[in-house]
Amino acid sequence: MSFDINTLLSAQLHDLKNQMQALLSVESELNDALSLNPEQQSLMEKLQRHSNNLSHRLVELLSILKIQNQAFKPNIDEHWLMDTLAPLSQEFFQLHGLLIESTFDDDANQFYDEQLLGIALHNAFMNALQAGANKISVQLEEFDDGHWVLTLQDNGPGFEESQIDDQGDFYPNGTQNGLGLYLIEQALKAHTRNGKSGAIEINNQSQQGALLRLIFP
Amino acid sequence: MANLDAMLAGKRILAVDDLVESRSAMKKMLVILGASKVDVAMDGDEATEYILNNDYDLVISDYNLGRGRDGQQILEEARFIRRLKATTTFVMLTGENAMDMVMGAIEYEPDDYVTKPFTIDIMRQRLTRILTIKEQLRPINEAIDRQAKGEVLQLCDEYIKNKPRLKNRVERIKGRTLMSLKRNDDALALYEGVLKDHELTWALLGKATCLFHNNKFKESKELLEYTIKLHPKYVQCYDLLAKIHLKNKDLQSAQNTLVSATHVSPKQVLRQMELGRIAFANKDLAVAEGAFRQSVKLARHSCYRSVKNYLQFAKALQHKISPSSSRETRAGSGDAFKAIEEVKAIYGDTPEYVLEATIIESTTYTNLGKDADAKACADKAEKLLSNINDPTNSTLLSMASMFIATKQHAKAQDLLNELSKSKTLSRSEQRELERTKSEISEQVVRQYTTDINDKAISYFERGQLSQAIELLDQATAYKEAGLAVLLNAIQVKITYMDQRSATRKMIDEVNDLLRRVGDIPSNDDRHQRWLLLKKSQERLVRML
Repeated sequence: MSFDINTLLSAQLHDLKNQMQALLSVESELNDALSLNPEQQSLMEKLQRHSNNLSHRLVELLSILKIQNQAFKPNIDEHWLMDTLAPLSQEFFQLHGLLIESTFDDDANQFYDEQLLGIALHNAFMNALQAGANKISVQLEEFDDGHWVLTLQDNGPGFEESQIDDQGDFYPNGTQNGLGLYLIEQALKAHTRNGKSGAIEINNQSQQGALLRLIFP
Repeated sequence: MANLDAMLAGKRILAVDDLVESRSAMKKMLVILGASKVDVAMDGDEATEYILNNDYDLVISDYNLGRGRDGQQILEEARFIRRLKATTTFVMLTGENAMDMVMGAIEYEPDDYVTKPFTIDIMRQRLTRILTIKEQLRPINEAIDRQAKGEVLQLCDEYIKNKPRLKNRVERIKGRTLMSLKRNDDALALYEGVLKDHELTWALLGKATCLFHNNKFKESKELLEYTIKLHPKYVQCYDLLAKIHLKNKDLQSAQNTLVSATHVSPKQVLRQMELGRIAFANKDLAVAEGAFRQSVKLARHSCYRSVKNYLQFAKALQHKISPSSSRETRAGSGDAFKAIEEVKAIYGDTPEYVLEATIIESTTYTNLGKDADAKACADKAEKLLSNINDPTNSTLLSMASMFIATKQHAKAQDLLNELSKSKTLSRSEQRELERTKSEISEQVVRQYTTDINDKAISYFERGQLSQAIELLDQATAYKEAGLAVLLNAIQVKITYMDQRSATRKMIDEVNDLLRRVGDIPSNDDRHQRWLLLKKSQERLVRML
């Protein structure tokens, strides 16, 4: 049998993810069993949040591995945007103090691969955070022809001009482009409809901050 | 946002999870969120038990429940036996990527999936949304529960027009309803409309199903193959594909397709049963055995439990059983007897089922080379058959095979002769009848008639003519009855008429027998006897 690194990695990650879930469960039990003072309680909650974050990242890693794998097929279905966004907003606010605000209604639904959008948003928020932003707004635009756009605006320093000029080439080059934008782009490109693929656009706002448009076909 | 507290208050809820910690955590979470009546179940069996005995408004089940049935099966079974109303909400919890999960049939989809792990805030948000949508859809779901399909369609049209956020959900319901009304063309138009916008799996399968019902097998097959390529876990596509192969009389491809489906989703009882049935027809007994074994195991505590599972399993095991005392024989016969015993224990009140089990039991003993046991079971089966008013053709065919296996060829012949008069034989039963007939050995039947003949002679010698006639009538009823038997029958009847008086009926019977005897040449030892009997008959005719 040939050595399949993808399967091996995937199996290891699945195992890690399961162990992480077991750990989360024990933490939760411990939290219930102990009577902690407020300071200890805060530490305990921080521990749980970090564990949760690790667990999310493992799920995300599994998805990345799938994207890398040729066999990956997106699972486009109807989802409620708030279902995808809310866990991330909660995580980024609790762990990093990043405030994420959305301007759309709770019942806003669209067709997309939930895991892929989760990866895209996670990376976008992480990019903004690393660039120094502490606030992001997420807006939804829906068009009559069925295509829709999520626009993310932060209050950080914005993109380098050269990055904006190189629009369309987000391949990580080790210096200017990290993995983040590339992954976001791949997640969007996997969405296709009527022969069109998804895409991303980056820009800077006139006042301050980066602007990232996730365009779904 | 709506108030979840108020939505959950008073609702009857069932939470299903195989892990004790997760179960108690879920119950605790639901109580914090406002629920007051929460039952918890640890596996599919317990969940089904709860669902059978209670009316739930909300069921939250983990997809993966360990070794037993999964959450999808709980949902399918509960909806199948109509113990979950359309207005009941079913939420599936999954720790896996949605792509890795086996999707259920169109008509058995959960209301929503929630990915684990989740915090209480996430659960609050998801449940609020799911229950809000369910509440909005209540008029449609109530109409579904009332089976008021016209009203369902009317409401669906209103919703599609006025509530664009619910369009996708309502279109699914509308498609399903149109198909249940056999309005295939309307359903097809709906699915094609949906697919213009998005290649949604349910719409792809819906379209393929409509094409199938419109006898467009080629188009349906192509669409299914495309869908499977996109979503290899959409296991319902395999089921429909197998049906198309069956329509095309390609049983091997149907079997292969279902084998692929059982790799994707090994726990679905109905699929395993279908695979077993097709593999059995293909004479692929190893596959049939495996599929029926699974069916028996999976259905033991479910609504899909059926006597057919056990009986087919026991039949499929026969290929392993031989008179040798090999391990395979021991295992095969052990499993077969166990299945037979289960049938007798579970379905003891239904003589038809007990009869079928007894027939297979006899076959098992025959294959083991235990002829006496096989015969004893055959006798039991014969007794059981006499108490059944209207046995099925297939039961009678099995009986005939059993009689042959226990060397009771004449009885087999009787049954088959009776059966060939039946007007309800299907084409395959007709074929089976011919095949079974060809197994009957003329020699064995002749031996049987000779045995009867011997008994008849002893009655004749004791002067008990009526008894002798009765037995010889039985013996001569077989076309295989030999010349000696026929002559004896003639002689007994003539003697009877000589002693009493000739009757038209008996004269005719003797004539029939003489016709069957034909001419006996003068060099035959029996020639003289035949001549004498003919003369006696002529005399009796004159006296009449």
